[in-house]
Amino acid sequence: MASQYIALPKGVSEKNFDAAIRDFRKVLGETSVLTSAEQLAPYIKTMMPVPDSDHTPSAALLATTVEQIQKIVAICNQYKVPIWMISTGKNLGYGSAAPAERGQVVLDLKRMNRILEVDKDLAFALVEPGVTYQQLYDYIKEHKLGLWLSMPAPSAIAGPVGNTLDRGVGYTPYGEHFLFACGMEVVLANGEVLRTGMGSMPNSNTWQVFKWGYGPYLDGIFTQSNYGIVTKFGFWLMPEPPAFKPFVIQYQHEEDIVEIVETIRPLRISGVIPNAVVIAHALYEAPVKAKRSDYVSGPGSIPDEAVYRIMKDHKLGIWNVYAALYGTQEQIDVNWKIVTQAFGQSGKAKILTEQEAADDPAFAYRAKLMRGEMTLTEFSLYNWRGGGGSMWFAPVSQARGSETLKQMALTKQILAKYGLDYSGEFIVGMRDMHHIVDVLYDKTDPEQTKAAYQCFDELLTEFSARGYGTYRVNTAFMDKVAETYGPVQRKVHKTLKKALDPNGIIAPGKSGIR
Amino acid sequence: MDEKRRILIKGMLTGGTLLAFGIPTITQAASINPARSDSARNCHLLLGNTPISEAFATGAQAACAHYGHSGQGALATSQLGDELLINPQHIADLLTQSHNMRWVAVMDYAHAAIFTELVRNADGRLLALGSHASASNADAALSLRHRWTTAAPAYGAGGLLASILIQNSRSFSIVENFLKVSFPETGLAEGLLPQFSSHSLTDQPATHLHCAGLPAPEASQLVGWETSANWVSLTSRPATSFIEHLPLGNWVEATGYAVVGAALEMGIHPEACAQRAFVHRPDNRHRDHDVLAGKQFVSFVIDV
Repeated sequence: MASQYIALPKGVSEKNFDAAIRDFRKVLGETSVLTSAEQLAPYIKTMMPVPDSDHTPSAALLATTVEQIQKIVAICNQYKVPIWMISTGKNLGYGSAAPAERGQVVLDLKRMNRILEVDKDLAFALVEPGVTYQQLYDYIKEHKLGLWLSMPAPSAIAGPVGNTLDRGVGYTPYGEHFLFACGMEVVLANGEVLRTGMGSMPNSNTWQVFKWGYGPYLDGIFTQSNYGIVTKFGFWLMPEPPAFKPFVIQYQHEEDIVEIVETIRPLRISGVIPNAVVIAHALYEAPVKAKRSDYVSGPGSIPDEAVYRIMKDHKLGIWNVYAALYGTQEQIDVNWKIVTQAFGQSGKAKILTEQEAADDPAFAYRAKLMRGEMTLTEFSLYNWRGGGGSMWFAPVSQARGSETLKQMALTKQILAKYGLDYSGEFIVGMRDMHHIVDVLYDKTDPEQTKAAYQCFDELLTEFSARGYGTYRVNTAFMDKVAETYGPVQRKVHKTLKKALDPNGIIAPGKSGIR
Repeated sequence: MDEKRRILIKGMLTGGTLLAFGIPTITQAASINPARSDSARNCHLLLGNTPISEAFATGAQAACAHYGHSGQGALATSQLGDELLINPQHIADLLTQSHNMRWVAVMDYAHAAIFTELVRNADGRLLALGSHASASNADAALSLRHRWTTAAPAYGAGGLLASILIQNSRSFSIVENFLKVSFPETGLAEGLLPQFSSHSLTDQPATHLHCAGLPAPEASQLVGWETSANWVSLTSRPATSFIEHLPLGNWVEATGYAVVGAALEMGIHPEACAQRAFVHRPDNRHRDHDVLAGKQFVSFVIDV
């Protein structure tokens, strides 16, 4: 006899799951517990090269209050039903809204979308997990608060809580988002509610201004983890600068990455360039302007000759460095002189200001992101190959030119072995680089899907063998990445999990932790 | 299965046709399906800014003309520009303000990634999500690939599309995964397409494979399924209804036709199964120049 559910949690009988669903409905109401195929289908689609059936949820719960979540975890403990939390669920290329394992119940927090506080003077926000960047942006504009957001590429439709908890990045001076997080409220697996840092003290008014509190700093263990459900989140906002000067610097040869990084690093560490600079390869920017099929057809990765034609046709560098200066006009004038002198030394760089690149759609969306404005233009990447396959490969590199060249060359070589293109960029921290590569493939093509899986697996294997760790990964490869960080870290993660969630009900499998 | 719908679909096809992309229809099916839901009676078309949208719409409107309820007229159509990438709020508002409506949408992959998110945000119900591609390479193993995730077999468009495409000399695969699994009670299936030999897996009877021009193991490999699997023949009731034909210009129009036929709940060629595939490889491969070579798009059927 067919089940009435499209999936069941691992090890849970249909009879027990029925009982859990009945109890969830008592807490949330009939309409906030989704079990039909039609309702759950929007939670299933992933871009990973594994069957979507591996990540099919059994149900989705739409909670609106902390009290409901406390009751939900009690039910999960009673029936040993695992939940997978999403805030806005926009982790595209990392697993989207789908759970890590088949049968997990999605706890969708999109309806917990209250902006609890935005303080203009202290420049911070306290929000619930369902708040989107667009919502917060509109609020700030409406109340004329003079604050800027930093957001990732899914901008408008994503939210600060989910992005920061997965340690995502943006493109303003506040681009390393977790650096600017300050205070969380967390529902623990036993139903207790923890406020981290200063939030634990009754009547404290410093929860969103002082991170550390007293004793071990706990916020970190609730990022990329499954130790609790974050229900409130504080973070700092950037005061709107009096002036803003975005620019792009183009280089023509792949090995120029060495010069770029060696030039940028001191400017980043000294704060001359304050924002999370992007060094984007031509193939990362090309989808905004060109179609792959106009340059190449058939199997195999795109040849360098075609890439150079794209660069020529669409006025792209092989590397395109997007950065900006922020501050008063006087500060910007001084720093602009330093930047142009530094990049002008070798004669290889072509520096374009906002005026000179005004008509360039790639520059336009990059400039928007660097001033915290909404654009989803980066998603043009999904039209490059088409077919809906995308995985972010995200190793970390030192901010050292020789290292970035090594990483780029190795990535390109492995991708080419499987017929895939290098669509990569480096996002520059002060001392590190997030090397972000969109492994794009056609998920409608079984052969290419298989190749993409093997390719990603090899990338992780080869990079970890050289000591290059991955900072974030999709749900299909979380165990593999966790393994690369060694047994001691895994054991500590597991020990914490056992202590905080003995029944393993919260997002088992997240970051390889069970 | 609903008995009235069973009558409508029973034995929909007989033999092939000389007309390229001739559309098999059943005279009875053109009348109102009494089981049709309210949202299916309020079906709208949302066309993305893609080169294939016009062709898809042509097929969609042809299906509406055949299967729509009396007085429905053409499908109301909304055109989508690039606003999803620039300001998705407009479409988010469109979805949240829609009530009891069924949207058939078609767009490229960039827009589809965002649209899927907006559907979930709007508490939309996703009945079918299809990926459709034509190979850019003439030597590709199959020239057309369709892959659907569909809530239930009742919303499956694959059977209707297969019945259209097989009348052309191009190779294709159609794979459908049904989220709500149905298990066949017997080895007998309703009105299987006569041009295909039909099989099920011995250890997974809810997996069906329909092949034309190639053996089951090879067809299985071409759609990325296990190749060593054991396939057994499915037997079917004979098809008896006569066929009308409506010429459609190309595979994109045929896809639009099939998607809307399914969206209007005609329930054409459903099967009680969890997943099924149709694979066709003609003896004489079609090598004509195809202006739609390399084209690909995503289709949605959603209720909001």
